[in-house]
Amino acid sequence: MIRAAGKSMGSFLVTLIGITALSFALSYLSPGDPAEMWLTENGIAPSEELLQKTREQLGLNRPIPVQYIAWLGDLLQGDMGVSIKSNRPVAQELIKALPHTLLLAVSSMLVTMAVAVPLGVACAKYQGSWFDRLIQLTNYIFVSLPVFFISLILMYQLSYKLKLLPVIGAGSLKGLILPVLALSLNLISVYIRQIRSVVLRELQHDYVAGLYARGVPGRVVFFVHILKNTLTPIVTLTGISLGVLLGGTIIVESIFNWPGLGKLAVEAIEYRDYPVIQGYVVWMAFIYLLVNAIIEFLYLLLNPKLKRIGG
Amino acid sequence: MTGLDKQKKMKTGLILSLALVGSILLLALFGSHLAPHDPYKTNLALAQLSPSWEHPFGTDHLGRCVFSRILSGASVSIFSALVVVLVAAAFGTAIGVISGYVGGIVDALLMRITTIFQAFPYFLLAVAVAGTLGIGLMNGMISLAVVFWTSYARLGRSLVLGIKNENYIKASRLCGAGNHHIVLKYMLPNIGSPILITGVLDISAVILSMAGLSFLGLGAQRPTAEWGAMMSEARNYLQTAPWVVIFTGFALFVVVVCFNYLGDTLRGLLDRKATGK
Repeated sequence: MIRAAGKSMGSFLVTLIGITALSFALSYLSPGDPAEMWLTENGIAPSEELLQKTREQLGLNRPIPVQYIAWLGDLLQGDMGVSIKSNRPVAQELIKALPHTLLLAVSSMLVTMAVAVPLGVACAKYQGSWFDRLIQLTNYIFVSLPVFFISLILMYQLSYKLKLLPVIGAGSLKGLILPVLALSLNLISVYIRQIRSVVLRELQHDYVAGLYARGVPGRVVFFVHILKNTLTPIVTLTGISLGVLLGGTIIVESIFNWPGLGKLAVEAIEYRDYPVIQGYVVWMAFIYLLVNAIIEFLYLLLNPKLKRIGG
Repeated sequence: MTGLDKQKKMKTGLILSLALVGSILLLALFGSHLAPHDPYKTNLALAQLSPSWEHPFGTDHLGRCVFSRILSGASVSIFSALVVVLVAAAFGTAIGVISGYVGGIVDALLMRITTIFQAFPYFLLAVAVAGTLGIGLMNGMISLAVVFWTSYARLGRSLVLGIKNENYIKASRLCGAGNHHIVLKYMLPNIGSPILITGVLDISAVILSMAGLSFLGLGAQRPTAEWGAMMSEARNYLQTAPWVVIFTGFALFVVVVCFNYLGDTLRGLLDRKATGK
């Protein structure tokens, strides 16, 4: 167990370094000369001589690995440069937006679980019934709907036509409903599908027949015994869907004007605010990696079989 | 009996899905010729007309025929996705095959790089790459290829590892076949179908991502008749001309459903073959 944990810790660190390297490399993709950009942003007309001086000043003429190490050192100290648009430190901008995105992501996850677990179990229990078929069909539809289409349709129906919810409404609970709904609908279908198939597989096991034979009521069999065994796949699925969710927040936040990281990133792209884009990418990848590492750990805890194999 | 029924059902599914995808591709190819109006001609006198016989899907805020725009935009949305999938699959498979075949430190290094790319939420990385490269359809396509190649690398590697020690590979090596020959002649044909199916299943994901990028203003640009860009433009007029968003989104939805259907059918066929039934 300890050796396994140590090994995954090591690969976690290597991946982490890789993430920073790739994010650093992003800045080399940008068209245009960073020294020239720096000068024009500061209101100085770039001349050849000035450019040379600025390059030296910003350390742009050093070898790339040296630049990377310097950048990484700053990053570890929480210094991610200064936003070109707002002139405030990038870290500060990200910290301001982070809680909004977390609120959106966590609420969507909770809504998804609350809807998908009972529906998925019910579909498995009544496999082949009209209910199961209806849910399967709905799933098929929602998996193929782009998140921005769902968002706009929800906005049109619930805000414009029925006037139930505000179009833009960060801060209020009512304003949270539309973005969360838009983010969850896709995920719910994915979860129902998965939970249904896991429960169906569990139902084939002998222990279920055993429980029924002992006279255990069906509700206990489903919600105590089977559900316990579906925990591991659900946890794994959560790790994967977090990536989808974080990707989705970019679109949903910019549609509903939600002041989170996704909107910050889209605005940063419009302003060619590269330090913010870079900071955003590093942070999101780090969060994604961290959550998945925690999930891997939970997985070990939940599944005693793996513990033994891990040594 | 049930086995035969199932086989028949699968055959019908395959024919149906191929027909659907085939007609979509034809529509995408010839869409701009079938369009009843010029998709780019603006006419403010005709702005925001609701659907009618003249304009089946209505007109947008500049008076352009939405039906014509959807038809002629199909080619951008669909063919750009096909190119992305082809490039990502070719590159990813090559990496995976090399990794699995060579093994050792090359394998470790290549797989580590793949892991690093997969450590990013994929749409997020695509947005960041597209945003840094600068807006435009081509850059959007590049950024999607950058995020979609990784699954082919993993798949290609595991497939090669699965057949590397098969007798027919050993036999060809004993006969003096070079690495080049073994990979191209014996390995690729044997790992082709799972990769093809992943490719087909990826098409709808790429179409959706491409539309998402364009919706954010990162892919195809206005006034291009690309579906994501069209919806992005139309969202400001959602209250007065909702049909633009609705019909364009519906077109996207239909295309994605058809490609998903084809992918699922093909996967079902392969699973069937794998279980030997």
